[in-house]
Amino acid sequence: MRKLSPNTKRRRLLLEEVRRRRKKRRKLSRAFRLQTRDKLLAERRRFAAANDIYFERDLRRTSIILPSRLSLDDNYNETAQVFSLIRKTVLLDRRPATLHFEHVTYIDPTAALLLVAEVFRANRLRNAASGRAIDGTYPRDATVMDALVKLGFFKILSVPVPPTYTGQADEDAPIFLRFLTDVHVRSELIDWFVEVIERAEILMLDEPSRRKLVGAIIEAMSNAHEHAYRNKGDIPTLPHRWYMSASVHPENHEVQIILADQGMGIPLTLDLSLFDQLKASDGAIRTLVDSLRGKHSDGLAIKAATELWRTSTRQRGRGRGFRDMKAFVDACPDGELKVLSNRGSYHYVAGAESYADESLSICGTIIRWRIRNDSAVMMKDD
Amino acid sequence: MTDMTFSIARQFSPYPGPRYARQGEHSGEALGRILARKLREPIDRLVVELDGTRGYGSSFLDEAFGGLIRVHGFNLSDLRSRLVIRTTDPSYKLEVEDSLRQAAG
Repeated sequence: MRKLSPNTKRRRLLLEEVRRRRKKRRKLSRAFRLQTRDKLLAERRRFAAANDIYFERDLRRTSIILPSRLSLDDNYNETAQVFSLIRKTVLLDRRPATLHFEHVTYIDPTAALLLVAEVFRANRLRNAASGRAIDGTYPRDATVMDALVKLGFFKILSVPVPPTYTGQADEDAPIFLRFLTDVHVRSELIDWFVEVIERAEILMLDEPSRRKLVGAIIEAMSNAHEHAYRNKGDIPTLPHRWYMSASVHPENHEVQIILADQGMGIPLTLDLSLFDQLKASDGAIRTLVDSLRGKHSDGLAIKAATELWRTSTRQRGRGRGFRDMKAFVDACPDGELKVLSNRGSYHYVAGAESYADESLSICGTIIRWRIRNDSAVMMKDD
Repeated sequence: MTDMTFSIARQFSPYPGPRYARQGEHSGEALGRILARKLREPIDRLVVELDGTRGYGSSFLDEAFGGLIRVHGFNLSDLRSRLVIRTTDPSYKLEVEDSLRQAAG
Protein backbone atom coordinates (compact mmCIF):
# COMPACT_ATOMS: atom_id res chain seq x y z
CA MET A 1 0.00 0.00 0.00
CA ARG A 2 1.24 3.43 -1.00
CA LYS A 3 2.17 5.72 1.84
CA LEU A 4 0.32 9.02 1.79
CA SER A 5 2.12 12.28 2.22
CA PRO A 6 1.08 14.44 5.22
CA ASN A 7 -0.38 17.05 2.82
CA THR A 8 -2.59 14.54 1.03
CA LYS A 9 -3.77 13.14 4.37
CA ARG A 10 -4.70 16.64 5.55
CA ARG A 11 -6.55 17.36 2.28
CA ARG A 12 -8.59 14.13 2.55
CA LEU A 13 -9.51 14.85 6.14
CA LEU A 14 -10.61 18.34 5.15
CA LEU A 15 -12.75 17.02 2.30
CA GLU A 16 -14.38 14.53 4.62
CA GLU A 17 -15.14 17.30 7.11
CA VAL A 18 -16.67 19.44 4.36
CA ARG A 19 -18.88 16.54 3.21
CA ARG A 20 -20.04 15.90 6.79
CA ARG A 21 -20.93 19.55 7.30
CA ARG A 22 -22.81 19.74 3.99
CA LYS A 23 -24.87 16.68 4.93
CA LYS A 24 -25.71 18.22 8.31
CA ARG A 25 -26.69 21.55 6.69
CA ARG A 26 -29.00 19.77 4.19
CA LYS A 27 -30.68 17.89 7.02
CA LEU A 28 -31.24 21.10 9.01
CA SER A 29 -32.46 22.99 5.94
CA ARG A 30 -35.09 20.30 5.19
CA ALA A 31 -36.34 20.44 8.76
CA PHE A 32 -36.50 24.23 8.55
CA ARG A 33 -38.44 24.14 5.31
CA LEU A 34 -41.01 21.77 6.73
CA GLN A 35 -41.35 23.90 9.85
CA THR A 36 -41.76 27.10 7.80
CA ARG A 37 -44.32 25.44 5.56
CA ASP A 38 -46.43 24.42 8.56
CA LYS A 39 -46.13 27.90 10.00
CA LEU A 40 -47.20 29.51 6.71
CA LEU A 41 -50.16 27.15 6.37
CA ALA A 42 -51.30 27.96 9.88
CA GLU A 43 -50.93 31.68 9.23
CA ARG A 44 -52.85 31.38 5.96
CA ARG A 45 -55.64 29.47 7.69
CA ARG A 46 -55.94 32.26 10.30
CA PHE A 47 -55.85 34.99 7.60
CA ALA A 48 -58.50 33.23 5.51
CA ALA A 49 -60.77 32.79 8.52
CA ALA A 50 -60.37 36.42 9.62
CA ASN A 51 -61.07 37.82 6.15
CA ASP A 52 -63.75 35.37 5.12
CA ILE A 53 -61.88 34.11 2.07
CA TYR A 54 -61.41 30.70 0.55
CA PHE A 55 -58.53 28.81 2.21
CA GLU A 56 -56.20 27.41 -0.39
CA ARG A 57 -53.60 24.80 0.61
CA ASP A 58 -51.43 25.93 -2.30
CA LEU A 59 -48.88 28.06 -0.51
CA ARG A 60 -48.03 30.03 -3.57
CA ARG A 61 -51.29 31.98 -3.94
CA THR A 62 -53.89 33.64 -1.73
CA SER A 63 -57.47 33.49 -2.98
CA ILE A 64 -59.47 36.70 -2.79
CA ILE A 65 -63.20 36.28 -3.39
CA LEU A 66 -64.75 39.41 -4.89
CA PRO A 67 -68.23 40.49 -3.70
CA SER A 68 -71.27 40.34 -5.97
CA ARG A 69 -71.39 44.15 -6.28
CA LEU A 70 -68.06 45.86 -6.85
CA SER A 71 -69.10 49.44 -6.35
CA LEU A 72 -67.80 52.40 -4.37
CA ASP A 73 -71.24 54.03 -4.59
CA ASP A 74 -73.50 51.41 -3.01
CA ASN A 75 -71.16 48.77 -1.59
CA TYR A 76 -68.25 50.86 -0.38
CA ASN A 77 -67.01 48.76 2.53
CA GLU A 78 -66.89 45.38 0.80
CA THR A 79 -65.32 46.91 -2.30
CA ALA A 80 -62.69 48.90 -0.40
CA GLN A 81 -61.98 45.74 1.64
CA VAL A 82 -61.06 43.87 -1.56
CA PHE A 83 -58.57 46.56 -2.59
CA SER A 84 -57.12 46.60 0.91
CA LEU A 85 -56.67 42.79 0.77
CA ILE A 86 -54.92 43.00 -2.60
CA ARG A 87 -52.52 45.64 -1.24
CA LYS A 88 -51.84 43.70 1.96
CA THR A 89 -51.34 40.34 0.28
CA VAL A 90 -49.32 41.31 -2.75
CA LEU A 91 -47.54 44.52 -1.83
CA LEU A 92 -46.95 44.17 1.91
CA ASP A 93 -46.82 40.39 2.46
CA ARG A 94 -45.29 39.80 -1.00
CA ARG A 95 -47.58 36.86 -1.75
CA PRO A 96 -49.21 36.24 -5.13
CA ALA A 97 -53.00 36.32 -5.19
CA THR A 98 -55.83 34.90 -7.26
CA LEU A 99 -58.93 37.08 -7.73
CA HIS A 100 -62.15 35.07 -7.87
CA PHE A 101 -64.75 36.82 -10.03
CA GLU A 102 -67.32 34.00 -9.95
CA HIS A 103 -69.83 35.87 -7.76
CA VAL A 104 -69.49 39.33 -9.33
CA THR A 105 -72.70 40.43 -11.03
CA TYR A 106 -72.09 44.18 -11.14
CA ILE A 107 -69.00 46.37 -11.43
CA ASP A 108 -69.16 50.16 -11.53
CA PRO A 109 -66.68 52.18 -13.62
CA THR A 110 -64.95 53.72 -10.58
CA ALA A 111 -64.37 50.39 -8.84
CA ALA A 112 -63.30 48.86 -12.17
CA LEU A 113 -60.63 51.52 -12.71
CA LEU A 114 -59.37 51.15 -9.14
CA LEU A 115 -59.17 47.38 -9.64
CA VAL A 116 -57.20 47.84 -12.85
CA ALA A 117 -54.85 50.26 -11.07
CA GLU A 118 -54.26 47.84 -8.18
CA VAL A 119 -53.53 44.93 -10.52
CA PHE A 120 -51.30 47.09 -12.72
CA ARG A 121 -49.26 48.26 -9.73
CA ALA A 122 -49.04 44.82 -8.14
CA ASN A 123 -47.85 43.13 -11.31
CA ARG A 124 -45.30 45.92 -11.92
CA LEU A 125 -43.87 45.87 -8.41
CA ARG A 126 -44.08 42.23 -7.41
CA ASN A 127 -42.95 39.56 -9.79
CA ALA A 128 -43.84 36.28 -8.14
CA ALA A 129 -41.53 33.33 -8.73
CA SER A 130 -44.60 31.26 -9.60
CA GLY A 131 -45.77 33.70 -12.30
CA ARG A 132 -47.83 36.90 -12.12
CA ALA A 133 -48.31 38.57 -8.74
CA ILE A 134 -52.05 38.64 -9.43
CA ASP A 135 -54.12 36.38 -11.60
CA GLY A 136 -57.79 35.55 -11.53
CA THR A 137 -60.73 33.52 -12.65
CA TYR A 138 -63.05 34.67 -15.45
CA PRO A 139 -66.35 36.31 -14.40
CA ARG A 140 -69.50 34.30 -15.06
CA ASP A 141 -71.66 37.38 -15.62
CA ALA A 142 -71.61 38.46 -19.29
CA THR A 143 -71.95 42.21 -18.49
CA VAL A 144 -69.05 42.10 -16.03
CA MET A 145 -66.98 40.14 -18.53
CA ASP A 146 -67.76 42.70 -21.24
CA ALA A 147 -66.82 45.60 -18.94
CA LEU A 148 -63.47 44.02 -18.04
CA VAL A 149 -62.65 43.11 -21.65
CA LYS A 150 -63.39 46.67 -22.86
CA LEU A 151 -61.46 48.22 -19.98
CA GLY A 152 -58.37 46.21 -20.94
CA PHE A 153 -58.25 44.25 -17.67
CA PHE A 154 -57.19 40.97 -19.29
CA LYS A 155 -54.49 42.76 -21.29
CA ILE A 156 -52.67 43.85 -18.11
CA LEU A 157 -52.93 40.30 -16.82
CA SER A 158 -51.59 39.07 -20.19
CA VAL A 159 -54.35 36.46 -20.35
CA PRO A 160 -56.49 35.87 -23.43
CA VAL A 161 -60.17 36.80 -23.61
CA PRO A 162 -62.07 33.51 -23.19
CA PRO A 163 -63.43 31.98 -26.40
CA THR A 164 -66.95 32.07 -24.91
CA TYR A 165 -66.91 35.91 -24.96
CA THR A 166 -69.05 37.12 -27.83
CA GLY A 167 -69.07 40.90 -27.37
CA GLN A 168 -71.52 43.42 -25.85
CA ALA A 169 -73.91 41.44 -23.67
CA ASP A 170 -76.71 43.95 -23.33
CA GLU A 171 -77.45 46.96 -25.55
CA ASP A 172 -78.25 49.14 -22.55
CA ALA A 173 -75.26 48.06 -20.46
CA PRO A 174 -72.55 50.68 -19.86
CA ILE A 175 -69.75 50.79 -22.41
CA PHE A 176 -66.35 50.98 -20.74
CA LEU A 177 -63.45 52.71 -22.46
CA ARG A 178 -59.99 51.14 -22.38
CA PHE A 179 -58.02 52.56 -19.45
CA LEU A 180 -55.04 54.83 -20.00
CA THR A 181 -52.08 55.28 -17.69
CA ASP A 182 -48.90 57.34 -17.77
CA VAL A 183 -46.50 59.28 -15.57
CA HIS A 184 -46.73 62.60 -17.43
CA VAL A 185 -49.53 65.04 -18.16
CA ARG A 186 -50.53 64.31 -21.75
CA SER A 187 -52.81 67.04 -23.10
CA GLU A 188 -52.90 65.61 -26.62
CA LEU A 189 -54.01 62.26 -25.22
CA ILE A 190 -56.73 63.98 -23.16
CA ASP A 191 -58.07 65.68 -26.28
CA TRP A 192 -58.15 62.35 -28.15
CA PHE A 193 -59.83 60.69 -25.15
CA VAL A 194 -62.59 63.34 -25.05
CA GLU A 195 -63.01 62.91 -28.80
CA VAL A 196 -63.53 59.15 -28.35
CA ILE A 197 -66.19 59.79 -25.67
CA GLU A 198 -67.91 62.32 -27.94
CA ARG A 199 -68.36 59.65 -30.61
CA ALA A 200 -71.02 58.04 -28.42
CA GLU A 201 -73.16 61.18 -29.04
CA ILE A 202 -74.14 61.57 -25.41
CA LEU A 203 -71.50 64.07 -24.37
CA MET A 204 -72.47 66.91 -26.68
CA LEU A 205 -70.59 69.91 -25.37
CA ASP A 206 -70.28 73.35 -26.90
CA GLU A 207 -66.72 74.52 -27.60
CA PRO A 208 -66.16 76.52 -24.34
CA SER A 209 -67.49 73.63 -22.18
CA ARG A 210 -65.32 71.15 -24.03
CA ARG A 211 -62.26 73.34 -23.41
CA LYS A 212 -63.24 73.49 -19.73
CA LEU A 213 -63.42 69.68 -19.59
CA VAL A 214 -59.96 69.33 -21.17
CA GLY A 215 -58.63 71.96 -18.73
CA ALA A 216 -60.20 70.15 -15.76
CA ILE A 217 -58.64 66.80 -16.74
CA ILE A 218 -55.23 68.47 -17.26
CA GLU A 219 -55.47 69.91 -13.73
CA ALA A 220 -56.52 66.58 -12.18
CA MET A 221 -53.64 64.82 -13.95
CA SER A 222 -51.20 67.56 -12.88
CA ASN A 223 -52.26 67.15 -9.26
CA ALA A 224 -51.62 63.39 -9.48
CA HIS A 225 -48.17 64.06 -10.93
CA GLU A 226 -47.12 66.93 -8.69
CA HIS A 227 -48.69 66.34 -5.28
CA ALA A 228 -50.07 62.83 -4.86
CA TYR A 229 -46.74 61.00 -4.52
CA ARG A 230 -44.85 63.74 -2.67
CA ASN A 231 -44.51 61.79 0.58
CA LYS A 232 -43.73 58.11 0.94
CA GLY A 233 -46.11 55.84 2.81
CA ASP A 234 -46.05 52.18 3.85
CA ILE A 235 -47.50 50.99 0.56
CA PRO A 236 -45.09 50.93 -2.39
CA THR A 237 -46.17 53.15 -5.28
CA LEU A 238 -45.39 53.87 -8.91
CA PRO A 239 -44.53 57.58 -8.61
CA HIS A 240 -46.40 60.18 -10.70
CA ARG A 241 -48.67 57.52 -12.21
CA TRP A 242 -52.29 58.29 -13.05
CA TYR A 243 -55.02 56.02 -14.43
CA MET A 244 -57.94 57.25 -16.51
CA SER A 245 -61.03 55.68 -17.95
CA ALA A 246 -64.57 56.55 -18.94
CA SER A 247 -67.87 54.84 -19.39
CA VAL A 248 -70.88 55.68 -21.51
CA HIS A 249 -74.29 54.65 -20.19
CA PRO A 250 -76.78 54.60 -23.09
CA GLU A 251 -79.71 53.77 -20.81
CA ASN A 252 -79.14 56.70 -18.42
CA HIS A 253 -77.78 58.95 -21.17
CA GLU A 254 -74.78 59.74 -19.07
CA VAL A 255 -71.02 59.69 -19.27
CA GLN A 256 -68.56 59.12 -16.45
CA ILE A 257 -64.95 60.23 -16.70
CA ILE A 258 -62.66 58.93 -13.96
CA LEU A 259 -59.08 59.71 -13.05
CA ALA A 260 -57.28 57.92 -10.23
CA ASP A 261 -53.91 57.93 -8.51
CA GLN A 262 -52.41 55.73 -5.77
CA GLY A 263 -50.63 58.46 -3.86
CA MET A 264 -50.88 59.69 -0.28
CA GLY A 265 -54.35 61.15 -0.75
CA ILE A 266 -55.49 64.77 -0.48
CA PRO A 267 -55.99 64.73 3.33
CA LEU A 268 -52.34 63.79 3.89
CA THR A 269 -50.88 66.24 1.40
CA LEU A 270 -53.01 69.25 2.34
CA ASP A 271 -50.95 71.88 4.13
CA LEU A 272 -53.33 73.76 6.44
CA SER A 273 -50.80 76.57 6.96
CA LEU A 274 -51.60 77.67 3.39
CA PHE A 275 -54.89 78.96 4.76
CA ASP A 276 -53.18 81.28 7.26
CA GLN A 277 -53.26 84.22 4.88
CA LEU A 278 -56.99 84.03 4.11
CA LYS A 279 -58.71 87.27 3.30
CA ALA A 280 -61.05 88.74 5.88
CA SER A 281 -64.02 88.11 3.56
CA ASP A 282 -63.42 84.35 3.65
CA GLY A 283 -64.94 83.78 7.08
CA ALA A 284 -66.68 80.56 6.06
CA ILE A 285 -63.43 78.96 4.87
CA ARG A 286 -61.70 80.09 8.05
CA THR A 287 -64.38 78.32 10.10
CA LEU A 288 -63.95 75.21 7.90
CA VAL A 289 -60.18 75.13 8.42
CA ASP A 290 -60.55 75.76 12.15
CA SER A 291 -62.88 72.79 12.47
CA LEU A 292 -60.38 70.67 10.49
CA ARG A 293 -57.64 71.62 12.95
CA GLY A 294 -59.89 70.46 15.77
CA LYS A 295 -60.92 67.07 14.38
CA HIS A 296 -59.68 64.59 11.81
CA SER A 297 -61.99 64.23 8.82
CA ASP A 298 -60.83 63.23 5.35
CA GLY A 299 -64.10 64.44 3.80
CA LEU A 300 -63.66 67.86 5.38
CA ALA A 301 -60.02 67.95 4.24
CA ILE A 302 -61.09 67.38 0.61
CA LYS A 303 -63.68 70.15 0.92
CA ALA A 304 -60.98 72.46 2.31
CA ALA A 305 -58.67 71.53 -0.61
CA THR A 306 -61.34 72.62 -3.09
CA GLU A 307 -61.30 76.07 -1.48
CA LEU A 308 -57.53 76.44 -1.53
CA TRP A 309 -57.65 78.74 -4.57
CA ARG A 310 -59.15 81.44 -2.36
CA THR A 311 -55.90 81.76 -0.42
CA SER A 312 -53.55 84.40 -1.76
CA THR A 313 -50.42 82.74 -0.46
CA ARG A 314 -48.71 82.92 -3.84
CA GLN A 315 -47.95 79.26 -3.34
CA ARG A 316 -47.77 77.98 -6.89
CA GLY A 317 -49.44 74.81 -7.98
CA ARG A 318 -52.11 74.55 -5.32
CA GLY A 319 -55.79 75.24 -5.45
CA ARG A 320 -56.48 76.16 -9.04
CA GLY A 321 -57.08 72.56 -10.09
CA PHE A 322 -60.27 72.06 -8.09
CA ARG A 323 -61.61 75.41 -9.27
CA ASP A 324 -61.27 74.16 -12.89
CA MET A 325 -62.82 70.79 -12.00
CA LYS A 326 -65.85 72.52 -10.47
CA ALA A 327 -66.02 75.11 -13.29
CA PHE A 328 -66.68 72.31 -15.78
CA VAL A 329 -69.55 70.99 -13.64
CA ASP A 330 -70.99 74.53 -13.51
CA ALA A 331 -70.80 74.70 -17.32
CA CYS A 332 -72.85 71.50 -17.73
CA PRO A 333 -76.64 71.53 -17.47
CA ASP A 334 -76.59 68.30 -15.44
CA GLY A 335 -73.15 67.45 -14.12
CA GLU A 336 -71.53 66.37 -10.88
CA LEU A 337 -68.07 65.95 -9.45
CA LYS A 338 -67.17 63.30 -6.91
CA VAL A 339 -63.81 63.11 -5.21
CA LEU A 340 -62.82 60.09 -3.12
CA SER A 341 -59.55 60.37 -1.27
CA ASN A 342 -58.40 57.98 1.46
CA ARG A 343 -61.40 57.73 3.81
CA GLY A 344 -63.15 60.86 2.62
CA SER A 345 -65.62 61.68 -0.12
CA TYR A 346 -66.72 65.01 -1.54
CA HIS A 347 -69.67 65.58 -3.82
CA TYR A 348 -70.35 68.69 -5.91
CA VAL A 349 -73.26 69.62 -8.14
CA ALA A 350 -73.77 73.16 -9.37
CA GLY A 351 -74.33 75.27 -6.27
CA ALA A 352 -74.42 72.44 -3.71
CA GLU A 353 -71.74 70.37 -2.07
CA SER A 354 -71.45 67.72 0.62
CA TYR A 355 -68.79 65.56 2.18
CA ALA A 356 -68.63 62.30 4.17
CA ASP A 357 -66.18 59.98 5.89
CA GLU A 358 -65.96 56.22 5.36
CA SER A 359 -64.44 53.61 7.63
CA LEU A 360 -61.95 52.21 5.08
CA SER A 361 -59.35 54.02 3.02
CA ILE A 362 -58.91 53.59 -0.73
CA CYS A 363 -55.25 54.68 -0.28
CA GLY A 364 -55.27 57.19 -3.10
CA THR A 365 -57.55 59.61 -4.90
CA ILE A 366 -60.33 59.20 -7.45
CA ILE A 367 -61.89 62.10 -9.32
CA ARG A 368 -65.08 61.40 -11.21
CA TRP A 369 -67.22 63.63 -13.38
CA ARG A 370 -70.70 62.42 -14.22
CA ILE A 371 -72.49 64.24 -17.03
CA ARG A 372 -76.09 63.54 -17.93
CA ASN A 373 -77.41 64.81 -21.21
CA ASP A 374 -81.17 65.20 -21.33
CA SER A 375 -81.10 66.63 -24.84
CA ALA A 376 -79.41 63.38 -25.94
CA VAL A 377 -82.32 61.58 -24.28
CA MET A 378 -84.83 63.59 -26.27
CA MET A 379 -82.94 63.29 -29.55
CA LYS A 380 -82.52 59.55 -29.21
CA ASP A 381 -86.13 59.06 -28.14
CA ASP A 382 -87.37 61.16 -31.07
CA MET B 1 -45.71 101.53 -32.77
CA THR B 2 -44.40 98.00 -33.33
CA ASP B 3 -46.63 95.16 -32.32
CA MET B 4 -45.75 91.48 -32.37
CA THR B 5 -48.47 88.83 -32.46
CA PHE B 6 -47.94 85.42 -30.93
CA SER B 7 -50.54 82.69 -31.42
CA ILE B 8 -50.28 79.96 -28.82
CA ALA B 9 -52.13 77.45 -31.03
CA ARG B 10 -49.99 78.07 -34.11
CA GLN B 11 -46.61 79.05 -32.67
CA PHE B 12 -46.51 77.01 -29.44
CA SER B 13 -48.96 74.11 -29.40
CA PRO B 14 -52.69 73.49 -29.99
CA TYR B 15 -52.51 71.23 -26.90
CA PRO B 16 -51.28 73.35 -23.97
CA GLY B 17 -50.18 71.13 -21.12
CA PRO B 18 -49.33 71.32 -17.41
CA ARG B 19 -47.68 74.03 -15.31
CA TYR B 20 -44.09 72.78 -15.20
CA ALA B 21 -41.88 71.28 -17.90
CA ARG B 22 -41.12 68.29 -15.66
CA GLN B 23 -44.84 67.38 -15.66
CA GLY B 24 -45.18 67.03 -19.41
CA GLU B 25 -44.89 68.59 -22.84
CA HIS B 26 -46.09 72.08 -23.85
CA SER B 27 -45.95 73.45 -20.31
CA GLY B 28 -46.79 76.91 -19.03
CA GLU B 29 -43.19 77.19 -17.87
CA ALA B 30 -41.96 76.68 -21.45
CA LEU B 31 -44.43 79.23 -22.83
CA GLY B 32 -43.39 81.72 -20.11
CA ARG B 33 -39.77 81.49 -21.30
CA ILE B 34 -40.82 82.17 -24.90
CA LEU B 35 -43.01 85.13 -23.92
CA ALA B 36 -40.24 86.59 -21.74
CA ARG B 37 -37.80 86.38 -24.65
CA LYS B 38 -40.26 88.11 -26.96
CA LEU B 39 -41.00 90.85 -24.42
CA ARG B 40 -37.27 91.62 -24.22
CA GLU B 41 -37.14 92.29 -27.96
CA PRO B 42 -37.45 95.92 -29.09
CA ILE B 43 -41.23 95.94 -29.54
CA ASP B 44 -43.93 98.15 -28.09
CA ARG B 45 -46.61 95.51 -27.54
CA LEU B 46 -46.86 91.73 -27.57
CA VAL B 47 -50.30 90.50 -28.60
CA VAL B 48 -50.90 86.94 -27.36
CA GLU B 49 -53.75 85.07 -29.05
CA LEU B 50 -55.28 82.39 -26.83
CA ASP B 51 -57.89 81.08 -29.27
CA GLY B 52 -57.49 77.96 -31.37
CA THR B 53 -56.20 75.57 -28.70
CA ARG B 54 -58.06 72.54 -27.34
CA GLY B 55 -58.29 73.97 -23.80
CA TYR B 56 -56.17 75.38 -20.98
CA GLY B 57 -55.66 74.36 -17.38
CA SER B 58 -55.52 77.33 -15.03
CA SER B 59 -52.06 76.31 -13.83
CA PHE B 60 -50.73 76.56 -17.38
CA LEU B 61 -51.97 80.14 -17.73
CA ASP B 62 -50.78 81.02 -14.23
CA GLU B 63 -47.25 79.79 -14.89
CA ALA B 64 -47.01 81.29 -18.39
CA PHE B 65 -48.28 84.77 -17.43
CA GLY B 66 -47.86 84.98 -13.64
CA GLY B 67 -44.38 83.49 -14.18
CA LEU B 68 -43.42 86.58 -16.20
CA ILE B 69 -43.48 88.46 -12.88
CA ARG B 70 -42.44 85.68 -10.46
CA VAL B 71 -39.72 84.06 -12.55
CA HIS B 72 -38.66 86.48 -15.28
CA GLY B 73 -38.73 89.71 -13.26
CA PHE B 74 -41.22 91.79 -15.25
CA ASN B 75 -43.40 94.23 -13.33
CA LEU B 76 -47.17 94.48 -13.45
CA SER B 77 -47.41 98.00 -14.85
CA ASP B 78 -44.96 97.20 -17.66
CA LEU B 79 -46.94 94.07 -18.59
CA ARG B 80 -50.24 95.94 -18.46
CA SER B 81 -48.97 98.39 -21.04
CA ARG B 82 -47.05 95.95 -23.27
CA LEU B 83 -48.92 92.65 -23.05
CA VAL B 84 -52.25 92.33 -24.85
CA ILE B 85 -54.39 89.21 -24.43
CA ARG B 86 -56.71 88.42 -27.32
CA THR B 87 -59.39 85.76 -26.85
CA THR B 88 -63.06 85.18 -27.50
CA ASP B 89 -63.39 83.37 -24.14
CA PRO B 90 -63.67 86.01 -21.41
CA SER B 91 -62.90 83.44 -18.66
CA TYR B 92 -59.34 83.02 -19.97
CA LYS B 93 -58.78 86.79 -20.00
CA LEU B 94 -59.93 86.96 -16.37
CA GLU B 95 -57.68 84.04 -15.51
CA VAL B 96 -54.60 85.75 -16.97
CA GLU B 97 -55.44 89.03 -15.23
CA ASP B 98 -55.91 87.19 -11.93
CA SER B 99 -52.56 85.40 -12.35
CA LEU B 100 -50.73 88.65 -13.03
CA ARG B 101 -52.38 90.37 -10.02
CA GLN B 102 -51.59 87.45 -7.68
CA ALA B 103 -48.01 87.19 -8.88
CA ALA B 104 -47.51 90.92 -8.28
CA GLY B 105 -48.78 90.39 -4.72
